[in-house]
Parts: sequence; structure tokens; C-alpha cells
Amino acid sequence: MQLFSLIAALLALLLYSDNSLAKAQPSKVTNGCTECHVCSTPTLEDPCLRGCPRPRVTPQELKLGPDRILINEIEAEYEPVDFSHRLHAEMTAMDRGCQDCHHFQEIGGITACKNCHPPDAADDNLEQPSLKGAYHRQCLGCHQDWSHDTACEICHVKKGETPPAHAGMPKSGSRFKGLVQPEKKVWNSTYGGGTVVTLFHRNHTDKYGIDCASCHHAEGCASCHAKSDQTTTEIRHSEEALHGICNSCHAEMSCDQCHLKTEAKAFSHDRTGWPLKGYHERLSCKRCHGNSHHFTKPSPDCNSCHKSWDMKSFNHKLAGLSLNEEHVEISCEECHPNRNFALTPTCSGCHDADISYPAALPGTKMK
Amino acid sequence: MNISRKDFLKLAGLAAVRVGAGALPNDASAAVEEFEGNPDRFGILVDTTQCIGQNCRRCELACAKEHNLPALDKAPEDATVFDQPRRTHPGQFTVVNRFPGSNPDSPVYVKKQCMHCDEPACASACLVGAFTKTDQGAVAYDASVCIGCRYCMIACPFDIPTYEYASALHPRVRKCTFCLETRLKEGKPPACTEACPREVMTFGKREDLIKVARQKIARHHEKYVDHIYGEHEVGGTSWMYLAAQPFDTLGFRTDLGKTPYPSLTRNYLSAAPLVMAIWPAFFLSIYLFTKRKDELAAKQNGKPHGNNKEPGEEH
Repeated sequence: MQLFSLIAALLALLLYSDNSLAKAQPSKVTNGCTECHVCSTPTLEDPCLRGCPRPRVTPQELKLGPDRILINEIEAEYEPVDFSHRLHAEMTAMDRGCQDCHHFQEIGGITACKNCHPPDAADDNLEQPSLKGAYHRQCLGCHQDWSHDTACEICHVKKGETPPAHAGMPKSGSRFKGLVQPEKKVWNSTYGGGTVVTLFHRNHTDKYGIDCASCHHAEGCASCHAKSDQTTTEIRHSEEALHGICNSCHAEMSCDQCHLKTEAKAFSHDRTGWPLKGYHERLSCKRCHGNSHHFTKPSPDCNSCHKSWDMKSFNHKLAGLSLNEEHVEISCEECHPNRNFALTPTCSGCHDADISYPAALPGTKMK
Repeated sequence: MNISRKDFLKLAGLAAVRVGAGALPNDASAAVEEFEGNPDRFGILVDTTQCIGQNCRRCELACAKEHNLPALDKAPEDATVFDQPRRTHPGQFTVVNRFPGSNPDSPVYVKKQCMHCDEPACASACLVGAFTKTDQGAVAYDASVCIGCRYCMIACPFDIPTYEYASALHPRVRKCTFCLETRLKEGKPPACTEACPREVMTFGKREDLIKVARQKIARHHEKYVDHIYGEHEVGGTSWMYLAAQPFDTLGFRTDLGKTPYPSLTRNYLSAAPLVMAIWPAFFLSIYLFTKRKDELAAKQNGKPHGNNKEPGEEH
């Protein structure tokens, strides 16, 4: 027993000393020369070191970082700068990652800015800016390129005032290549009725006016705003969550309306019995069907949208039919009962049953 | 040797100019090397890739405050100020101008002020010596001796000196002072440099700044063009610039060469006093010599029974 405890103690000592030895030694250098040195022949006098030869912070460590950081170096006049660290960290994934800001990192932790950049501006080191300069260089670099909001008040709120609204992200910028979105997405499901589910992605964003974040609310910025033109954004949701996103608009639809045997055809307004022509073709859906996700059926009465529409000055050619001399003088209701312009025009008000639209036209069709 | 009188005069004149000019450096490159400014003179390194321009212009504000100049025409928030490139004027010694960058979303902003040349053309052109390059590195102007000829404005390759045309009684030439009296003499950076939130401008000894600039270019060679504007331009300037695109796209003149402007005229102008002193004496002596010869000839011709002696053989 005594021998056993002696061995155990010796082992423990050995382990401890090994551990302390490892701590005392610098980490093993595995990088090439150019990782640290700018020139090919560094000397003791002129080692020509790069500014940031330390290990990189990786986005995987994001969760370890704070959500918000209060910077209160000039709290006498201004409210502290409320820096949303995690949000900004997500954004850096669109560029070079954490080292966009943490360009110098000591082994074993995050280096505070002021460890290198002294708050005192009268520093003799000409090569690196003071703390004020360093902060402004970091923040304004992106705020100028991306959001174009470089006003002081965006970060520095005067005591007792409310912060102004953030201008938000632009759709393009020098640092990210804009949105990459597919025309359509086709999924294969295990549903018995039909396995193919088609999503017309661009129609949803461009025509139906669905906000990106209403579906993509759990991804990081870089999953859509990629650094390069190539990106593969997959919504990583559970089956329930995925259905929840679609059902927020398509709640009344049955399973078989989305899960088909073959790829679905894109929506065409012709299906509704009101094919869009000319001016109406160029409108966004919202203009006629309301602004909510649940589109409403607009009134077929032209006056419901065209408030100042006047029958006397109306040129029927705009409807695609140039009325002939006999029909141009008669009132709308003679052909369009109850002024319901969505219905097929009727001829029975004046003519016998053998004359009907569209076999007999009251004029000539426009091209 | 048969040489006509006219040819002789020609040669003599040329020789006099040669003698005058020979005493001075007649090679432009020699003049650059011979510039003996204070090696510890200050300078500024402007990194144009850092300036944000819009919503800022703290340098312009700080300059106006430091020199008690009128308030800026347009507030820093007013982006229309960049629609037209501006130049300095008696009410503003520094201006920030906007230039198109490599990306339409990222224009480049460039601060303009006196470059504080090592060998200033304004000082060379000034008749009364109102401009001096001080030991600290600033090109200082002395309004008390200025006669208002405005030659400095014509001489400056950067179009910096401006004139107080609006002042009827005591018009002065106005330009950036490098904050010589208020700051530079105490070794402190000028007001604009201190006010810049992004520290676009680095203040230090000119020699050190060139090293810093070189290191920046070496470290970020993908970012900067390999050119420190002002290191050699017109013989070197105290204010120097770094940029991410060629300087001619940022409103800088790249046709100025490396020759200090004063040395372009120094040979000619320095020869002038010598020529002025030698030529009159030389011609006077020739005149007197020929006159005396004529007088002697006249005297001899006047004699009733003349002899055949040459006039020169008289003595």
C-alpha cells in the first residue's frame, strides 16, 4: 500500500512538472517565416516583424465573447458607447472574421485594445495609433464602407439624448458582394403523397415582398451576404420550424399543394382569371393586394384603385380592345353588369343570344 | 590669330557668365544633396486611405478655431461640400476634397494644405524674403515685410498661398502655418492633426515618418501604391502622403519632378549680379581703351609732317 501511494505521488509530481514545463515554454512555432517577418532576411537589429503574427480568433469562439461592450473612455460628455459585440462579430464573418478587429492577440486570451494603443495621444510610437485613433479606425472603416453612417452621434450619444436611428445595411458595398439568391429551391421530402417541394425564392422576395429575415432569422450574416459570389445557404431548421415558416402565410393549404410529384410551375397571374397586361404587369403584388403577408382580393371596380378615373375620358384601348362606333357611346354597365370588370362582358342586354363575347367583339383587339 | 572685335566681345561675355555660374551648383541633382535643413525638422504623414471626409472635417474645424478664421461655409454633415473640388482661401487654410476611389462606394478624401516644402518656391520668388523655412520644418510667412506682389502665389506648384483681396488696408498672403507659433515650436502637432479622430495624419520627425511610410507600404503592399508623395517631389516636402491609388487620380500633380524649384532659377539669378558687376567694368575698359587709341590717332593725324609710327609703338 505504501509503495502504491509513493508511486501515485511520484506520478502526480511528474504530471505536474510536465504541465508546468509546458506552460513555461513558448508555443511551438509551426508557421512559415513570412507569417511573422516581412522581409526575407530578418536580423536582430531589423527583425521586420509583421504587426499581427499571433494566433487568429475564430468565429467558433463567438459564443464565448460578450454580447455587448460598454466603452466609456469619454463618459464626462457622452453616454458610453454601447457596442453590440456579438452582432458585429457575426458581421465580420462577411469579411476576414474576428481578426478584422482582434488583429493582435496574445496567447491565452483576448488582448484589450488599450494594452497596445495607449489612451494618451502623445505617444512616441508613430506606427500605431492611440486608443482614440484605433477605435475610430476600426469602427469607421466599416461604417463608411457599409452603412455610410459616419455621423458621430451613431456611437457617441450626448448625455441625456436618445441615439439616432441606424441607417441600416446597404444592399451593396465594397466589402461584400450583395445578395446571392436562387431563382427557386427544390427539396425532396419523405412525404408519401408527393416528395418534391418547390419554393420560388425570388418571387417571394421580389414580388411578394417577403422580408429576408422572416425566414432567415437564425443564420449569421455571412450565410447570405457572402464574401465571394459562391454561397450555399441552407436553412438549418427542424421540420416543424421549417413548416412553421411556410405556414405563417400558407396555413390554409393542404400538404398536397406543396408536396407534389414533380416540380411545381411558377405562379402566373393568368391562373386567377385576370391576366395582367401592360401597366398592371409591372406592379408589385402589394400594390393591389395589400401590404400584409395575407394578400386580399382587390375590388374589380377600377375606381377602387384609380380614384380619379373618369368614364368620359377613359380610352377603352387601354383594356386591350378598341371599341367600334356603335359601342363607344354606350355606358359601361350595358356590357359590364354591376361594373364588375372581372366578369366576362355580356351582350344579352342589347343583342340576342346568338351574339356573345368573345366570339363577337364590339371592336378590334389591340396587339 | 585673326579674331574680329565682335567675336571677341561675344566670347568675353560668355566667359563672364561661365565664371559667375561656375561658382554655384549648376547641376540640379547636386542641389538636392546640398540642401542642409535641420535633420530633426518635423513633418506630417497623411494616410489618405484612412480619411472619412463626410460627417467629419474635424481638421477644417480645428484649423479655423486655431487661427480665428470664419466659421466653415457648410457644416460637416453637408455632403454637398464635396460636389466641387475646393482650394484653400484666406478664410480656410486646409480643405478636404473628394475623389473617386477604386470602388464607387468608397470615394477617397484628401486633405489639402501647404506642403511646407524643404526648398520652397514661394521663398525663392519672394522679393523681400517674407517666407522662410524654419528649423522646425514650417514655411513661415512674415506679413510685416510683405509688399503684396503675390509672386509667391504664382511660384507655388501646389497653388497654396492665397491673398486677402477683400482687405483694403492690410492685405496679407494667407496659408497654412503648420501652427508654428502656437504648437510646432513646442514640439506639438498642429491643430488639424490633433483633432483628427482616425489619426489620418501622423506627426513626427520627417526622417522617422519616411521610415514609417516605407514600413506601411512594405507591410500592406497590396493596399498602398509604392510612392510617398512629398518625399522627393520638388526636392521634398514636410507634409507627405500615402495612397491606395495613383496620386494623379487624387488631385496631386505628378509632373513636378524632383528638382527643388529654387534651383531651377538659382543659376540664372545668381549669375545676374556678377554679370551686372563685370560687364559694365569690362565694356568701360574697352571703351576707354578704344577711345584712347582714337585720341592718339587723331593727335597724330593732326600733325603737319606725320611719321609712320603705329600708335601702339608710341611708348
